[in-house]
Amino acid sequence: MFKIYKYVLPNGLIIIFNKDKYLKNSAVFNILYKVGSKDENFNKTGIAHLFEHLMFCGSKNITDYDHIVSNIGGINNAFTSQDYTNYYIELPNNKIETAFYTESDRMCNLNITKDKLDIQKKVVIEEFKQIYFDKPYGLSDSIILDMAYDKYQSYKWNVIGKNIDHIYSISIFDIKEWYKKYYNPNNAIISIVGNYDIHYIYELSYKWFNKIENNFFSNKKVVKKNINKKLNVVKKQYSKIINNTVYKIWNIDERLSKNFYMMHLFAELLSGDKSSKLYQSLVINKNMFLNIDAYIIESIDCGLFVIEGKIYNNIKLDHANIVISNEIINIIKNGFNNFEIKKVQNQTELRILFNQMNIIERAFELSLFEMMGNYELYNKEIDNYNQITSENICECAKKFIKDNNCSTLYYIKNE
Amino acid sequence: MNNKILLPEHYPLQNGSNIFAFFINNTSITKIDLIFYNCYNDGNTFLINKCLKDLILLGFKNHSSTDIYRLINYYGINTYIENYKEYIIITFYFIDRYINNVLYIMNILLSSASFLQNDLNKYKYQSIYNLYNKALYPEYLSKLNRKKIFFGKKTFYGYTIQLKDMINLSRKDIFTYYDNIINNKNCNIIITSNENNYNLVQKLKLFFEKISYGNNTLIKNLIFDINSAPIDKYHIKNDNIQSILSMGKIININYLHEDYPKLIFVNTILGGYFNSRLMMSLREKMKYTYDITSNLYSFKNFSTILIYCFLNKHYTKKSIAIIYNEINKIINSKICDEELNKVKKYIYSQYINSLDYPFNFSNYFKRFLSIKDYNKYYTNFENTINGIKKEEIQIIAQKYLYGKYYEIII
Repeated sequence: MFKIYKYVLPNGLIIIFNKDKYLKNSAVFNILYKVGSKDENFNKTGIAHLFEHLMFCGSKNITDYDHIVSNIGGINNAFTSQDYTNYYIELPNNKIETAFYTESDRMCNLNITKDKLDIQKKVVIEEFKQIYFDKPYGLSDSIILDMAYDKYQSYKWNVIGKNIDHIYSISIFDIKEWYKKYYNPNNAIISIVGNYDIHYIYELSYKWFNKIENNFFSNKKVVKKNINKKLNVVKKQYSKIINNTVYKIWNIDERLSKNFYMMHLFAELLSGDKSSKLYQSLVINKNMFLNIDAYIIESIDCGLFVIEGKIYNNIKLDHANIVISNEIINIIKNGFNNFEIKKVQNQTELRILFNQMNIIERAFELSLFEMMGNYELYNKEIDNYNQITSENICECAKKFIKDNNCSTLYYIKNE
Repeated sequence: MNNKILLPEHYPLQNGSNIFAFFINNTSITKIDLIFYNCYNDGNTFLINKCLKDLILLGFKNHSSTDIYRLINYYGINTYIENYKEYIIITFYFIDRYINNVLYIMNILLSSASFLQNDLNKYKYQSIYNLYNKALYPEYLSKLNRKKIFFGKKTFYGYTIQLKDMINLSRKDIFTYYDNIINNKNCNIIITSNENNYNLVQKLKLFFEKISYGNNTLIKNLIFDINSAPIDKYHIKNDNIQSILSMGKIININYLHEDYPKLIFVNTILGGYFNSRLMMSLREKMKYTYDITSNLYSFKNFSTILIYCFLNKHYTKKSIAIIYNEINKIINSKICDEELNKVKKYIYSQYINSLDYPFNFSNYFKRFLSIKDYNKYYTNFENTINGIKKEEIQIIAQKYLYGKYYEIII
């Protein structure tokens, strides 16, 4: 259980502080902006991520952000999701004020120019190519999101952007508007992990952030999809694969719902390890699949539950699809014994404890939980999983695992 | 700043193993590393090393592989295997309250493996498919060819797994491997646990003292003749949108050499951090890549420098010229004070911050098991960080960066 403090500056900026007395040398400063790719317009995507790159290109008082951070011995990085954009610095504990200074400067004084934008567009396009092209199954994520979410749901595209043309089309005006709209104190959460006096952190926060004014902003919430859609099967052909693959995708609830925790354990129970039910049945006993994997694509407002099965080439995709469906229905019907439930709960506990030891991860998650509703929930994650029973999981799975909530993708080898 | 490198308590065991125990104050997870040195120089050893994570669970005298998977996962144990050419490390992470169950499982894993034929057949069948699948990934192709080109395909370091190795793999091969390598005379054990877990460590000590597994220890001295390494250029053409470039060379010192910490500086300046020269020129200035790194790896009697990036394929040749240009700049001119200070602070902080991660003490230590004076390495490292001069950077660059580099383009 971590001791965590929270306070809010008059301009709405939230500061979460975890005092860790065991940290002798280092500290982490994390700042999360409540803006991600879901806040983009569907015909101009990729701004959230491109903007993240521009945050490293200098502000009024800091021409070279990375230089300042390296110069104090810090490391920094950032990542963008559908729901947020997160920046962090791990640095020597006696240099924490530098993080306050640099982050406050780029929150209100970012220096955006067309030249910088053009450079970062080209860098991001190379990143786009690196992630999606030339790799077997590289495009599957984009297709899954596009199939599973409706037109009005802005989780429908990849964070980096729907395509390269969208990235090219982003203008300096778009970028400036984005900054003005979303990079404000009341749309940000700072979290700090370090061995400091709380008053010192408060003083620094006040000194560096209190004078920054807010602009209007409104965050988008992604509305949940209604179950009851037409049967949705898409076939895509690619030359760079060996095994045909079937993806089955079901829409599920928001990240903090009880149903999310249940579906997460359900995924672990199906394929978390080689003794799991789905793996044993389809890979070992039926010998139809080279591999089978169940996992969740985690989004704050409404996520996805995915089963991905790579099949041997003598098996027909339609047949594989039916076998997966029948097997899951059967598993839900028969439920899980206590041993299986305890197994996935223990694995989850170890994973959470392990993540908490990493201070970069801890600082980020504190901001994330605060964004989702309450930083205190961070300390309750293990309990949330440990309270779940087999009955809970099966009831929950019955609710979501339905044909009228399912999209199916056949990723087929182009002969 | 507390820059004291933590030293382990050492318990030599009568059966030939050694235990090194780190007691730390901020964890409720215990970590055990079992380190085995490799000793053979043939296809089977490469293959079994590479596949050990799966092979180690292929059935036991009284338990099927599924039973063991079930048990391991029931107790939330995370097993992790690192395959290096020179040694392999089997790591167990677990929640402290399950120590007795972990010992039971470790006993089965180490001393009653029987590699059931059915399980092995199934595994081979899946693995052959996986090899075909992997070969479609350009990064994998790049890695395979890099090893071959770098070290020569017939050497221990350059050998890559062939399909025929997988087809021919037998239970006998695995038993032989186990006898020779997964062997308590060939094992060093590092335990990292909470400082209040003295009793837990004593329990582990008793366990490892009693357990006996493996028969022989046939350690061959694996010395790679660096003069045998070919310098070559290799280009696989395909219709991909990007190219993958690997450039590198072998360097005739390893981490024990007094120049090594200085070489870390040279590598960091070239391509070892975000502000590196290669990042600045190829990403920020030319926009040919999203990311470029140069990496320094140390082996038993040599090191390698590897420069690696995905590139806009229309600028591959131009990028190679730019990389050579950056290498030559480090060789031919002194770096400025500002850059030196920045790199000093960066390297020092990386090191010092890493000491706040409880498991890093054992992560560092396991590389240095063969060094008697482990602390001396870090004293040398810290002295270098504090005292290195720009003239020394240039001398080290001239000494080790100069010369031809192999180039692999996929």
